[in-house]
Amino acid sequence: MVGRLTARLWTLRRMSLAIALALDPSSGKQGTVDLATEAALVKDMGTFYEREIVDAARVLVAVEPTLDATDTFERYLAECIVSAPVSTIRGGTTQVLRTLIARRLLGSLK
Amino acid sequence: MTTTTDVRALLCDAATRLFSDHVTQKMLDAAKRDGWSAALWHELEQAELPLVGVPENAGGAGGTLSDTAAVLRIAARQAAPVPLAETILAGWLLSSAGLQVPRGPLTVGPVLDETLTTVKDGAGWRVSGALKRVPFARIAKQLVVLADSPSGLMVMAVDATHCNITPARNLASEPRDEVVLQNVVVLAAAPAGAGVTRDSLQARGTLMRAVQIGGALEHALDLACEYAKQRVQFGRKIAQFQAIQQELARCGGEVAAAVAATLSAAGVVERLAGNAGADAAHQSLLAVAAAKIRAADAARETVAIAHQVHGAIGVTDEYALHHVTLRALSWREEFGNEVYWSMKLGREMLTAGAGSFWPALSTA
Repeated sequence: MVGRLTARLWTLRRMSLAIALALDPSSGKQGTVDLATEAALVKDMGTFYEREIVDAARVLVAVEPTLDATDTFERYLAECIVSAPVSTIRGGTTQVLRTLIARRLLGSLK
Repeated sequence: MTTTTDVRALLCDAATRLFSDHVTQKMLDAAKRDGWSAALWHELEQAELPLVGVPENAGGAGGTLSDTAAVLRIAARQAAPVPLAETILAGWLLSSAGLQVPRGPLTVGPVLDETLTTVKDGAGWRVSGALKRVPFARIAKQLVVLADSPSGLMVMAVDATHCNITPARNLASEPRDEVVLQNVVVLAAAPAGAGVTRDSLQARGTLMRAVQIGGALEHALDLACEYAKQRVQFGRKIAQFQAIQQELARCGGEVAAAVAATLSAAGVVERLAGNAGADAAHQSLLAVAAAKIRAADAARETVAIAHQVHGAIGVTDEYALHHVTLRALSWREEFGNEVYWSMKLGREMLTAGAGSFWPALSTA
């Protein structure tokens, strides 16, 4: 589980970095790639990853997460579970992002 | 910096043209029977593509590992039925041992955990052992192996026709043969080069396969998008249905992740080559394992979506999709599947400890 989650995080970081580099005005890359779509793609995968991490932490450690727990792990876990639904909504819902990505993949459908 | 990128762009253009001009559905169908396409290999040799990553002093073009990865990705997009990755791996074993790289298709072994024994024969060597799942063994001119000798690990090249080969194949009908070597005369031998071990052969092999998976999945995605724009159901192109669009977008994400992870890993390994430190080994393992795990995960999702979008036509022999999907699915297992690499990477990260997790992830 740790290996697979590490692999996914490593990939997401690499993809985000590539976009950040392309956004840098000195890179000369603006306009050559559709950065909005690339960013939508990474955001879509990143938010699902966020949820995966929380669930992995939950199943690895058998605790009942509580928001006012004194134990930091229990409290952080509780906060993550409560805020998890928002991750796939803020900054563009998954469905809107995927519509943008599909438009780029499929081009004009007329 | 810009020079190497420009040179790579030219190389990619040439490779794309070569593979799209020469790989046909007929060639792929014939390769399922013959194991490969000799005609395509001839074109590749004319263009010197098999030697792209081999240093100039060993008879190659002196390209980088990133150049090699770029070419392999393009070859895999077209499901090119040739032992290009294998010849590249063999070229790496030979050239890092200071040996010349011969022309012709080559392959490597062992790809599993078998060992080969060697005996001195006058000034030369003889090698024995049994190897399974050797890619393209029945096609290769020479088999380049890592073998144990009293003086340590050696790279040895043997004439493949002197070996006893029993054909076997993977899901896509690519040759994955059983090879028995009985006191076979060694054509060339030298101590394995710096950084060349059983582990690094497996790591480089899995990196090649991961890059190939990325390329094959790109083509599966292209085919799915093309088909969705043609196929009409309920009076509309199926690409106009949001249900299809959402799946294709997810597929696009998976393919982008596979390609980004694998090309990026090739860059990391290239940068760290020749660096013998423990930190470099840690970074390389992270990159290679991440590439294989991510590519294999992407293969599962992409193949499922591409087939789902195609409906029944996707699984027919006459349609191109299965040539790339079956390759991607087979390549997942070769040189260690995603579970093998996840266990290895997980152990490595846990041993290093939580404190070094983020530094490791954010340095290379």
